[in-house]
Amino acid sequence: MTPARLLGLYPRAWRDRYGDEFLELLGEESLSLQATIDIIAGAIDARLGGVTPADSSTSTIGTTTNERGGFMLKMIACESQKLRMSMTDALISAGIILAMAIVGSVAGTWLRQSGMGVAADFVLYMTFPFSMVVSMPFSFLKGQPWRAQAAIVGGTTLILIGIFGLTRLF
Amino acid sequence: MAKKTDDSLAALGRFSEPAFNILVALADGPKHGYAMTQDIEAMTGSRPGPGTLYGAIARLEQRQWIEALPADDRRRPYKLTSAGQKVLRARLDALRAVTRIAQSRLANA
Repeated sequence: MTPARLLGLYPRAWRDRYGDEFLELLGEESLSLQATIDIIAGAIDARLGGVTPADSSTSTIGTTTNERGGFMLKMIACESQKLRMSMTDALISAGIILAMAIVGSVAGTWLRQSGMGVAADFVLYMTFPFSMVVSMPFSFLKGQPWRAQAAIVGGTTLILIGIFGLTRLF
Repeated sequence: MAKKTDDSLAALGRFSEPAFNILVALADGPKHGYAMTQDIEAMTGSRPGPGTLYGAIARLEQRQWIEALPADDRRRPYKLTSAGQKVLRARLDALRAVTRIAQSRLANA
């Protein structure tokens, strides 16, 4: 994937503010798989919980939140009109993400302390993206046919596992 | 006061460490993104990923701990603000205290 395509994963306001310098930085980097994953993670962060520049012409930055759970609720609630989600769905979705994050963190820490480094890495790296995927039937995939939901959730999970596997090879 | 600003840096979550490294990188003068990564790599032995770097830059800028300067071509340098200096000093004080305790304990071990 080219740097310009990777930049396209970020929100427009973010691209307007940081796009040029970001591409300049990437231009001098040899984009490794890890760097690519880092950029994708950064784009997800910028879209879900990161800083959203308010004005691309200045350094003034607009509204932000670091309370990821709160942001997720707000975001899902905003999307709910379009997706016909109820607040209960939004709460279930946010609850899944938070619960999996807590369980994953505890499990990953325990695995690391037990000397199972690879398993610990897998759990710790995959917990957050996997929790997002698992919560999707209650949020973005709400109302979609179950086969479509299964394909997207299962396929995305396999992709995440594949990406982790590739990171172990390089 | 120092405790409060240090807590604020810690509140950046997984961006706390890269944000700290950026503040250190800017302590001796303005730098653009690429110069920051080079400096951080020289200091820590590992280079922050581009997504992580700019995630941290955006957060630091939002808190007005760093400030963007006029762009030089496509590169935009950033400088440490006085608020950023306070945050950095607070974190360094905290680290110094931990280092002192750790050294003391190792000496007595």
